[in-house]
Amino acid sequence: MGVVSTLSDSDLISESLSRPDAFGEIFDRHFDAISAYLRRRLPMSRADEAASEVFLIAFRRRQDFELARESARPWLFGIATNLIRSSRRDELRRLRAYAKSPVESEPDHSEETIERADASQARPALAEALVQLRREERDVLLLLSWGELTYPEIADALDLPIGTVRSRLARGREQIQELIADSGQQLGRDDQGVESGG
Amino acid sequence: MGSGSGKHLDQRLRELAADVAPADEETRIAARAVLTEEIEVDKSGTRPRSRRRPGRRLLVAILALVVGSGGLAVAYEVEWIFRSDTDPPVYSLDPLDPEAAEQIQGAIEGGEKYPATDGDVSYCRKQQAQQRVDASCALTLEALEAGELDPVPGPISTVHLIPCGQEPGRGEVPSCGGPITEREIEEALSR
Repeated sequence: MGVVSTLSDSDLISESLSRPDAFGEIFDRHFDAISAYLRRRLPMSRADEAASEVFLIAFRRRQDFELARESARPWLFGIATNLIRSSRRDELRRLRAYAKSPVESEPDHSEETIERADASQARPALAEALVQLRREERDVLLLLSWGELTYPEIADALDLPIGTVRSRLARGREQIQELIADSGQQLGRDDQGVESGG
Repeated sequence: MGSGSGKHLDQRLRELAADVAPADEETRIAARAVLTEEIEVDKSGTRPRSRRRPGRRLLVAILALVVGSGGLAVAYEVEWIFRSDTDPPVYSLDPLDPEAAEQIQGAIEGGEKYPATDGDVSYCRKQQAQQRVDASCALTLEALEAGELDPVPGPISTVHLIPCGQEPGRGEVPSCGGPITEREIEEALSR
């Protein structure tokens, strides 16, 4: 890997229009984050292919990137989200795999341990709740928690008003709480009541 | 961030996927190589072969199941005849692997026009990344992009649609229309 430049993503993409090699640094900067996100949402083999595709698509469409944006991160996550949408069955299989993760038994009864045990017991219900969620809410929730995007970045990635992001987050959280409650599980001690995300 | 309960849920979600391993260096290098190749194509001004559907004629599709714990391809005598010039396409399925056959057959009966397994899609996406999409994968990818294809689970299978000597430079496929040989599958996989 070469020397990391101090140019912004926007500058690099702009430069790549005349000097395509410059786009390589966009890959170097963002591949790990995109790959990690896709590996959480898709089966491993598909996730790795999709991560590669994200950067191919981005490169081919780089002239569409709005240069007023400083960072390419939301744009790349948006492309990744579109790829996940075209792999619905893969995604659901991945989520259901979380539900099958073993529940650990805890030997002692400290408060922390009890909460950890509760959380562990709730894993299958939480995973199944994600499966049941509408895609719109699931995307927003997981871009936040697994993609570690901010609200404005999510809005940018999905091309939504930020108010819609907030309402989808609130709705998604509420539905998850209801689905988990229906399953007879709970997420932990302080999961009572849900407020709007903003 | 919103409420405490929202944070609590986000924390639980993060924990759910906390054990997912990051991509290894080999995966990263491979992905970077694919991008570099695309950049070179862009610089040379030559566009990759179109991924649009090629002229539709009779295609004979041969389903080969690739299994093996070591990743070694083991071919079963599986034949999947596929006519794309009819609507809906006509399929004839005579596989020796009942589980995979059931998956594909179920997809056909469910109205799937272009049934494929996850493995098939993976195979075609690899071609796409390499910009060497053959006629059969062009159909698969186009159907996928159009939302007309919902791959069935099938991690051990891959579909090879081998045109019967119709593609320039490809030459005759000796067993076209009949059971595919192990050697032909290996050749297809190496393309």
